[in-house]
Amino acid sequence: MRFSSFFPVFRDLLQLQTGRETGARTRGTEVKLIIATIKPFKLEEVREALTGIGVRGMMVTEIKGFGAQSGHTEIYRGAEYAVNFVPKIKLELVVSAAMADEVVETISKTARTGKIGDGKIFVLDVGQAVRVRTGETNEDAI
Amino acid sequence: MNYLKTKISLAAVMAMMAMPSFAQDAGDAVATAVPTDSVFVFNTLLFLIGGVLVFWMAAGFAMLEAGLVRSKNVTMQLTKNIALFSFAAITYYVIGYVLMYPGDGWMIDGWLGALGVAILEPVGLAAADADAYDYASTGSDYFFQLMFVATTASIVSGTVAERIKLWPFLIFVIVLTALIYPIQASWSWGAGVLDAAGFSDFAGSTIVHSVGGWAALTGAIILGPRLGKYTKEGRTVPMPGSNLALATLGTFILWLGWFGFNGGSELALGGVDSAANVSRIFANTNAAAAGGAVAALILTQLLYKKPDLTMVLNGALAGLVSITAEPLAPGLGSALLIGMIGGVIVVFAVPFLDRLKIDDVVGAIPVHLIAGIWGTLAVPLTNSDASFGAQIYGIVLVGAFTIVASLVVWVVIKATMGLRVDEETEINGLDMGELGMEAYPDFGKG
Repeated sequence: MRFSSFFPVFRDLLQLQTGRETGARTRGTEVKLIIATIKPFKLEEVREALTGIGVRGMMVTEIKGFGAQSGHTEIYRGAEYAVNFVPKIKLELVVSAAMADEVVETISKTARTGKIGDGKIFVLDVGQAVRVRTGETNEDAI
Repeated sequence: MNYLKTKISLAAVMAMMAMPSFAQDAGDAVATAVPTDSVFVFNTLLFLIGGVLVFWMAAGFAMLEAGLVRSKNVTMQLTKNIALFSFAAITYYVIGYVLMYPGDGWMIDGWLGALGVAILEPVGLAAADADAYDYASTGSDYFFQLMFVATTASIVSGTVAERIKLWPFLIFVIVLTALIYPIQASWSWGAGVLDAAGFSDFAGSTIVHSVGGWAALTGAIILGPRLGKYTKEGRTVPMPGSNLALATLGTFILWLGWFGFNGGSELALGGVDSAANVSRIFANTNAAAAGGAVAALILTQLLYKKPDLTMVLNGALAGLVSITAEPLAPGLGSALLIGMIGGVIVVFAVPFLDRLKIDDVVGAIPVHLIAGIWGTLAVPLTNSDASFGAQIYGIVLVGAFTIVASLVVWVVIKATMGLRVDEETEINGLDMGELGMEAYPDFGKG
C-alpha cells in the first residue's frame, strides 16, 4: 500500500511559465528538503496550511513505521496480534532556505494533536534542485 | 425404481411431521388423501426451487472462502469450489443417489444401500408411469438431494484451504461424495438404521453439516496448520482474509440458499399443511440466522472491545446450521434462541481450535460441526417425538463413521501422492505455484 502522489509537483511542472526569462539566473540560492511524518487524518489540513503560506508543491507517501508511539494490539477471530508498524503519511517538500522555518512551524502547528504519535520533522540541505522542463536550478526550480 | 414411493408417500410426509421414525409404516394410509396432479406438481416444484436455492449455496461458499483466504490463494479456492461441486454432481449420479436411497435393495439391510446409477423418469411422463404419482417426480428429488452432497464437500474446502494441493483434495471430495456421505445419509434419509432408531435430523445438521465438519476436522489435523499460523511459544498469528466484502456476500448467499435447504426438506408442498410448514420453516430459518449473527456481534463487542465481522458472519451461519436439524417445530422465539446459541458457540470455538493448533481457515468446524451437534441435540427441546438418546446415538454413529472413513482416505492420499504443497509454494501462494495465475494480478503480492 505504498504509492506516491506527485500531483502537486506535476501541476507545478506543467504550469506554463516564461521560464526562459529567468533562465539567465541559472544558479538560485540555497534550498532545503523537509521530511515530515504526520498522522494520516491530518494530511488535508496540513496541505491547506502549507499552500496558504505559499508552498507550491509536495510529495506524499503512505508509509508505516514506529517511533515513540510504538505499536498496539488488535484482535482477529479471537487471536490477539501486535500492530508493530503504525500507518503514517510522509511529506517531502523542497523549499527555499528562507522559507524552511515557516514551513516547519506550519506543519508542526497544524499536525499537532498533543497525543503520542503526532510525528517528526527533519530538515536537510539539498545539494542541487533542477527543474526538468527548463533546466532551472535550486530556488528557481521549486 | 419405486423406492421413492416407499420412501415417502404423501400421507407418510404428514406422518413424518409428527413422527419421523414411523414414515415407513404410514404408507398404507395414502387412501385418506387423494393423489392429484396438483400434489405431484407442487411437491415437484418445491424440490426444484429448493434445489436451485441450495445450488446457489455453492456460490455462497465460494465467495465466503475467497474472501477469507489471503489474496495469494483466492484463485485456488475458487477452482476448488467449482471443481468440488462438479465432481459431486458426477459421483452422485454414478453411485451416490442409489447408495443413499436403495428402497428395498439394501446390500446390508439398513447399513449399506444399493449400487447403480441414478435413472430419471422418461420424457413426457404419463401419470400412470410415474415412480410416485402421489408424491413428486424422481428428477426433482434427485436434483434436490444432489445439491446437499455438494454442500458437504464445500464445508471441507474452507477448512483445509491455503495449503492442500488441488488433486489430492479433489480425490478426497470424490470419496466423500461417492461413498462417505451417501452411506451415512442412507441410515437416516434412506430409511436405514438411524431412521429405525428414531434419530431426527430434518434437513441435515448432522447428516450434511457435521459430516462435512468431521471430514474437515480430520483433514485439518492430518494436514497440519498453515506455515506461521502458530508460533513456537504457542501464540496464534492472525492471517486476515483478502476481501471481507466477498465474505459478507457469500454469507448472505448462503443465508438465502438455506431457505431452500430447510424449506425444501419439508419434502412436500402439495397441501395446506405442507405449504404452511414450508412457510414456517422459512421464517424459523431466518430467525435463527439473525440470532446467530446478533449473538456473535454482541459477544465479540463485549469480549474484544471491537466487534469482529468475520465472527458475525460465522455466527449467522452457525445459527443456520443450528436450526437445520429441526426448523419446523420451534416457534420464532425458540428458533431465535437456538440460533443465538449457535452464534455463541462460534465465538468460543474459534479461539479454542486455535489453542489446539487446529488451523481452520474459514471457521467451518465451529460453524458446521459444533453448531451442527448443538442443533441435533436441540431437536427434542421443541419436538416431543425426538429423544436425546436417539439424537446422541445418531451424532456418535455418524461422527465415528465419518472420522474413521475420512481418516483412512486422508492418510492413504498423504502416503501415496502427498497432501500439502511445498513450503515455497505455500509462502508464494497456491495461485502462482499450483495454477500459475492470480485472482488479483494488478495488486501487489499478498
